[in-house]
Amino acid sequence: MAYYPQIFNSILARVGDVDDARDICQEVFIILYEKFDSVNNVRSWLYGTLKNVVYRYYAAKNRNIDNIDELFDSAGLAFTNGFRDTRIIINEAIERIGCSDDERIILDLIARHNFSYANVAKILGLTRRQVEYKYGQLVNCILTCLKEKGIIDIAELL
Amino acid sequence: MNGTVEQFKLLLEKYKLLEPVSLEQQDYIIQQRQADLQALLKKIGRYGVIFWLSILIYSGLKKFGITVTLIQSKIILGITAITIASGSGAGVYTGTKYIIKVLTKPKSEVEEKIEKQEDEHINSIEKKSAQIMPSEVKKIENKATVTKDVQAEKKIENNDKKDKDAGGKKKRRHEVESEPVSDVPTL
Repeated sequence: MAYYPQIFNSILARVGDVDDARDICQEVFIILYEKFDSVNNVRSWLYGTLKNVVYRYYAAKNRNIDNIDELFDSAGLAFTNGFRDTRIIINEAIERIGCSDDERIILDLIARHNFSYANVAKILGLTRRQVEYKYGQLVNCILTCLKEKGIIDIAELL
Repeated sequence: MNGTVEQFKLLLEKYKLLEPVSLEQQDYIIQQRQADLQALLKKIGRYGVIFWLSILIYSGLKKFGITVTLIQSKIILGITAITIASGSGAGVYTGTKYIIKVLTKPKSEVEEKIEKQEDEHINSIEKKSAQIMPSEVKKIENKATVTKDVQAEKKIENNDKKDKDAGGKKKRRHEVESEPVSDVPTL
């Protein structure tokens, strides 16, 4: 259930309606429960299933499915601000750093979903200081990863 | 560190890698988590006391920094249930044993009997002493009068003796004085 907030947020960002987001989220977790033994990486599996369930939701609502790819804005496909390669590099750095499940949740919730430290602490059952410290450590890891890829100072990218 | 965190946030904003959620929505999600989990479990058909308790153990241990899986928390629940059951069983057993012990003992009635016996014994002793007392008192009084008489007699006898002794001495002196002194030594 630790992944619940970030999956819910991802769905809500795409669907826009809280009740629909709840239903879709529940559906995703029910499928996860049914296939739990065969799932290796829960996080990536959840995001993959989320995409399929949202597709089905749009199909059921007779919405325009042609534009649905825009909802799942893949870093590899999107051309944002004219810096597609940089975007891919940053996204890879975020995705590939070696960290635990809890640290991944902290990173996703704070960095991507703009959650406050206090709220993440509530979700994970940690203290605010612990979350803040861990997030700082994760950011440092990402920056070293970017350095390895040739980006010495992130101020250059801003 | 704060500087790098802020820069990283700006970087994500610039390259649109964010899916921001408002604070209201954050609070809503946190509040709804438990209710959603409940609804989810009901839909699956796994909503029950055992599952709920294992989730409580799971979240409780996580608060203390101990991460366990749901299966492990179920095992912990089973072990605690067994220990509680065995402990309560042992408690009930000792309790019933104690009650049986208390019930089989000759209890308060016996104690009353003992008290009665003791009272009777005390009363009998008092009665006996009361029966004995007057005769003894008479005896003692008799003894006292006898001793008084004896003492009075002894006093009189002593006085007589003294008088006799005094009289004898005087007689002897008189005899000695009246006897003629001879020159012949006596044998």
